[in-house]
Amino acid sequence: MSLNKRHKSFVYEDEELMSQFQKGNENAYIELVNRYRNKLINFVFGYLGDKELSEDVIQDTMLKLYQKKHYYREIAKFSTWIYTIARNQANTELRKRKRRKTSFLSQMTKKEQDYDIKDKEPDLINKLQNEYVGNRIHRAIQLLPEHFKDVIVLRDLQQLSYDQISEIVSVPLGTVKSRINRARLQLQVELQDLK
Amino acid sequence: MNRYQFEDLVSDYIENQLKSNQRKQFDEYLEKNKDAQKIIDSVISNISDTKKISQIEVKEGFNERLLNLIDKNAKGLSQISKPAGTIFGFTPISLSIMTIAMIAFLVSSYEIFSLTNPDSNLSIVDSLTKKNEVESDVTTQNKAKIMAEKNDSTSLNKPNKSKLDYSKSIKFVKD
Repeated sequence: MSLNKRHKSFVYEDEELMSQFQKGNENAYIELVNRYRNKLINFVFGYLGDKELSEDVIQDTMLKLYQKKHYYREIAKFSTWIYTIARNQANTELRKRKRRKTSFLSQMTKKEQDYDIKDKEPDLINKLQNEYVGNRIHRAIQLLPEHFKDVIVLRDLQQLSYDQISEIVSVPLGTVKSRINRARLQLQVELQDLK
Repeated sequence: MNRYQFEDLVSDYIENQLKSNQRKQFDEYLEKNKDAQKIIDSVISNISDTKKISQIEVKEGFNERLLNLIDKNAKGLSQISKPAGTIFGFTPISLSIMTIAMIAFLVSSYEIFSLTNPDSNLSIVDSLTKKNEVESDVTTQNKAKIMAEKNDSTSLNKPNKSKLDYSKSIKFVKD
């Protein structure tokens, strides 16, 4: 007789993990880091446009999560809280960048890049095309005003709900919708040549 | 519907958030304006391309680096390290400046105190004795003053006598 019991894997909610971490369970903290590190780096990358810098910001975000765990209250969703911390860290980095007045080569020009395609496999062509489109979209997002940038990244890149976005950026729902609409129209103008 | 109203409703239209009468007006506007339809198609295409952007991932060893950062910060908070070459936490230059300032303060305080109190160079016992002598002099002087005032007829500060009676010396005459 074979035992064929299927064990349902129990997945803790983020809020439950946070509660355990607050009680001292550091494994819960590691699990939260694993769940959110890639989501947050994509959010911050959309904001800053630099991968190395985005990773540093995420490290600082996770460090803050570790140090300020007792500030979290279950009234708000954990995802809203962690995104807010990441956004604040990214804003701090943006302000530092403005003071330093540095710019990134990737943002300096909209000049078309020539891609030498050695391999004629269609997959590679598609991959390069998608990469090119992705880079253009990222660059166009970087050119948006700050208050449009964060909402469009949270909505179209991160696919968060309007309510969550409203909580993260601390503006009314109507304002969030209006900003997303304006941001999309500006992106449409910026990316006209892609079509 | 005008151009501004159309632009305000683009996202709601794409996300199917318009009410039926608004949607009807929006569709009518699109039929009349081909440019407007191009804008809608372009926005939909951008949203779709944005969702397909390949997701980046953190570099290998992210968790190890994070745990090192946490340890480093924890150590930094527990140990308050004094920088090398300091005396009681102060650099030699700042300590000497503070010492000079303190000495100057003490000297100037002593000088000011000396100016306001000329007897300040006497010992405490002598100053107390001197104080008693001064007090007894004051008491004697006050007594003499009081006696002088009593005997002084020109003084206005006479004790309050009863009202003088002029009825015998002054007579009121009716007209």
